[in-house]
Amino acid sequence: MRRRASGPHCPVGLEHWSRFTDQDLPPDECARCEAHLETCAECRARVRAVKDTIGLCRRVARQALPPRVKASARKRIQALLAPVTGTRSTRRTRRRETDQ
Amino acid sequence: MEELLMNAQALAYRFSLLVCGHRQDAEDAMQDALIQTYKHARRIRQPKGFRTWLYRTVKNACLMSRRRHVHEPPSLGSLDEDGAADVAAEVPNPEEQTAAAAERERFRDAFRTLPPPYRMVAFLRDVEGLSTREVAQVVGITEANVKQRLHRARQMLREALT
Repeated sequence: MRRRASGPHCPVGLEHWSRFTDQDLPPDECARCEAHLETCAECRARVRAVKDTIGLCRRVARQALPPRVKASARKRIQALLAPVTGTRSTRRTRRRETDQ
Repeated sequence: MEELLMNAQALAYRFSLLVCGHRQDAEDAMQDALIQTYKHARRIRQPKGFRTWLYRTVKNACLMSRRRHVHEPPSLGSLDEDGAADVAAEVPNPEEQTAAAAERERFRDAFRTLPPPYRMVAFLRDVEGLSTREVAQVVGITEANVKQRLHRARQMLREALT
């Protein structure tokens, strides 16, 4: 895939800003990006846009389970764990009976 | 154990809704993920690698659930395909009628416009916070591919949100 320049005078491709935000660039490349950001409002806006998108993903998508779904999940888990508890307790009772 | 299973349930729910985009898959996926996690967690000795295992398991559970339901409505697609899956619209319940719910809804709608392979990478990396390497392991692609898809996904998501 061909790199698209961020703007007519921008020295780095748009994908760089995604990688820059992820701190996934070599140190010298990272320094070059930082220097460029000092002078380019357009690229600063692009970095901000990437950060905002990621922030939105974390904030909005990672919501807690809706109460109804949570209740049914809890019930399902308890149903799955219940036989284990029952078996252990039965074993303990049996052992106690044998000891006596 | 109960908390670990609850985390797996929450993950399966998020994955079903955001990546598969079908509410009816969530129940099946949650059930499958629960049983698989329970079996695995009981014999696990080293927690290292459990995270990627869990995401892989949930991903497979969701895909299996999608395949089971694939013949129900005629237009539902597979996640393996590059084409966008038909997404069932979510009906918000009354308690979700808030500004936050509206923002969530807007986000979900935008997220669902991403082609499935991009959606999965964006979900794992940006929603769930997995590392590039972990995403590559879960999805079964190279790290370079993850980065490429992630970049495209962010771009498309941004465009869909504006």
